Amino acid sequence: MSPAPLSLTSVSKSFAGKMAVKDVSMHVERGEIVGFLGPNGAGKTTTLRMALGLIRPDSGQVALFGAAPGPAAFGRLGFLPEERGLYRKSTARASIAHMARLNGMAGKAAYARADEMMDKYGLGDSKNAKVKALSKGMAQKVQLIAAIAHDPEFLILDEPFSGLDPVNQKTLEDMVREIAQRGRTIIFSTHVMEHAERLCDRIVLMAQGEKVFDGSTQSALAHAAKKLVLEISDNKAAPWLAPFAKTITQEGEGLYRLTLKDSAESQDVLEACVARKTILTRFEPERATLHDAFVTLVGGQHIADAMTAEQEEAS
Amino acid sequence: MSVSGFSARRIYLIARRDFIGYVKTLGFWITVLSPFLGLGFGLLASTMSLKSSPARYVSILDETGRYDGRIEAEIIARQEWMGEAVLQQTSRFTLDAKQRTALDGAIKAGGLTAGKAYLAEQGKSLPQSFKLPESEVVLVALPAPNLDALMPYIKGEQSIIVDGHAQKLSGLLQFFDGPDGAQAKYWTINPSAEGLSQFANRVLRDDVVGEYFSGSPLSYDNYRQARDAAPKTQKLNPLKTAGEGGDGQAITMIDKIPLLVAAGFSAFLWLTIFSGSYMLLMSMVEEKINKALEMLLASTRFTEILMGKLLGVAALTIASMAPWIIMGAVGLIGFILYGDAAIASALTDAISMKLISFFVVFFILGYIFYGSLFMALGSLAESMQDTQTLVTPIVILLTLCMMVVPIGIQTPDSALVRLASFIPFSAPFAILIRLPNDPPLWEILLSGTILLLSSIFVVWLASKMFRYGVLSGGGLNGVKAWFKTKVLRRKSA
Repeated sequence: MSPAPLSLTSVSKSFAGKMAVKDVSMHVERGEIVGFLGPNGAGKTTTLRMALGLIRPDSGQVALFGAAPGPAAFGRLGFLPEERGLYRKSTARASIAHMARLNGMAGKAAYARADEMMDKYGLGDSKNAKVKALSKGMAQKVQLIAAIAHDPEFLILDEPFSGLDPVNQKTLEDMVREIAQRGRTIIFSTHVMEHAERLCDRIVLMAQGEKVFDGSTQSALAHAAKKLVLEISDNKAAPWLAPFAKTITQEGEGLYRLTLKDSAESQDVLEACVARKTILTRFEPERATLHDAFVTLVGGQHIADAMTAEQEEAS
Repeated sequence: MSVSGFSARRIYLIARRDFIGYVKTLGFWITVLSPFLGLGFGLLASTMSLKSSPARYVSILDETGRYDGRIEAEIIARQEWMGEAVLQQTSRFTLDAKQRTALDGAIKAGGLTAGKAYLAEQGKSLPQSFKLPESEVVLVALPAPNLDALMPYIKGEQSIIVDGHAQKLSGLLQFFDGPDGAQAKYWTINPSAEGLSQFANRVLRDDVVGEYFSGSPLSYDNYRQARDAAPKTQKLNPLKTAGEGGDGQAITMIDKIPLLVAAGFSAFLWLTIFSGSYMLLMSMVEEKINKALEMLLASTRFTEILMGKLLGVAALTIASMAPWIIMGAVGLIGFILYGDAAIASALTDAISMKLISFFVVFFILGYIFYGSLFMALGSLAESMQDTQTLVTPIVILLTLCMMVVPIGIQTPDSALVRLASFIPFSAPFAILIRLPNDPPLWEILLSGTILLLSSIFVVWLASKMFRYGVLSGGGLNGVKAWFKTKVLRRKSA
């Protein structure tokens, strides 16, 4: 059996004494599509750079296809870095072909593949346009094509959706899904949970340099707090709803928003309403999201810290 | 193919992209064509200057009655002298050494007319097409009889008529007798115009000197002949063979040619290394700012990128220097064919295989040394301003190293030049300038070895700096942090 595309064992890294990644272990199996989640500054990019061998961990082991990262993995990998960059004065076609050739494709085949993929992903009219003349979305698509043109076994995408408008995000999602359908292994980092929810088999959650969750998307969602919106004829229901809820927010006349206790289910609340002969006009259990799961797993303080870090970065 | 794990194909692809990327830019073609553009622009500018310079019309108001004709004769004599010089220079490329000597003799004896006659005798077509250079000033008759009446013309208020066209009088040369003899004034509204004042100064000086000598049995002409015939100190080199005439030991211009050739090669090496290194720096900074490097590093080793860039830019440097090399070679061949035979022979001796071989070796080593250094600095830059800050000290150092060339010409055995040949920064230039003096082979080999080891060290350092500068994302701060934690073993606050 061939080794896993990526295996990190107790990997740590600090910069100038500041811990960026702390004791992270994870394995990406063949054919998986893994979402690498966390707020900005959570250590995702540093972990991916260590996975590629671009920086060395202070401690722990990294294995790409069962060996230390390096030339042995060249041609088997595709990498889209967080900070986008292509040769601005080259044409889109030449940029894709150059990367494909560096990854082992022959000259003519590389140009033919560049043409084929640009046609396929709606860039056929921009083949000979210089990169500097492309829109941000188009340039990002060109860069992703450059990363996958040689049809790598394993694709590492660092924040592939950042900076794109919703239309281009959807196009990029389709591209990722199509690559995954061909049996390729993908890990992508993001701080937008919705992309991971839609695309991933498995997610790894990072916060402040540490891994806080690693499992299937379903099991992550199981950590999300259950929420319920309730509209009843009783305007003083909080006392008898309290045994079922961690938090109760009254948002209007008889309108309550509940975060249920782990031991409680929506059905229990419904039964209580029937028993009290309260008139029920609205009963909406809310669908669990990865964001909710993240809040539960990481805790309020972590979230607050991460949000502060993001705001600082944005300013 | 791979050597020690390096992929020659990837190195080639990196080199190719850098080469083609630059060749497609306008800047490259401007550099390549610059010698021709410079030559063309120079010729065009001088032609335009000649054609567009309006003739300056000047009159002479000679109140003494003694100078009018002499100034006219001076102008004609100067025209003749310039014509002789032009005739001698332009015919250098069509005459052999013997014919050139004969032409010089004919001109000396009979002036321009005799020179043209000699060329006609030799069947040369030049005399028919040869035109005397046009004079900058044109003498015109006085438009008014006295200074007061001439003033409106000088001030530009009135025009003179030349060949039926109204023209401005550029200036008026006035001679008059003062209390101590003849004096001259040049009237003009153009502050930078020399007009005829130089000619007037010369004739007035000749008069004063002639009068000084007139009271004695001496003459000015005899004085000048005696002065010119004074013996000059002869420089001799005892290592040279005296020969039959005994003057074989004389130090001449020919003896300096090997040094001048070595200095030329050294300067060219400096220019090539500087321009190549600067291109490498810009290439690295461009990729750093473009953020293309990280993507490359997922499929290419950093050392392969480094080597690819070194090769690509070396090819680019050679391509951009090719016009200079071609022009130099054409000029050299032209000189060997048509120039002075003795100097041509000394030139061919000076450009020896030894010089060319060491030029190539030290070019490669110097280029790798400086190129890697510039690339490492480029990898630390976050912006063009950073680039300037980082590179300025190295550019100053490189410029200082160039000083070994003039020192080497003046004092080839200087201890400073010898020392410079063992310092990697200056070694390539210092060794070349020392070659004509046959330094011991071990010194050349030691210099090469030091430069080679330094180049290896710089490549290693470049990859380390790159790792901390680019991949840690910290640029200069990343390197400072690395220095503190790894070298000084200090913990970060």
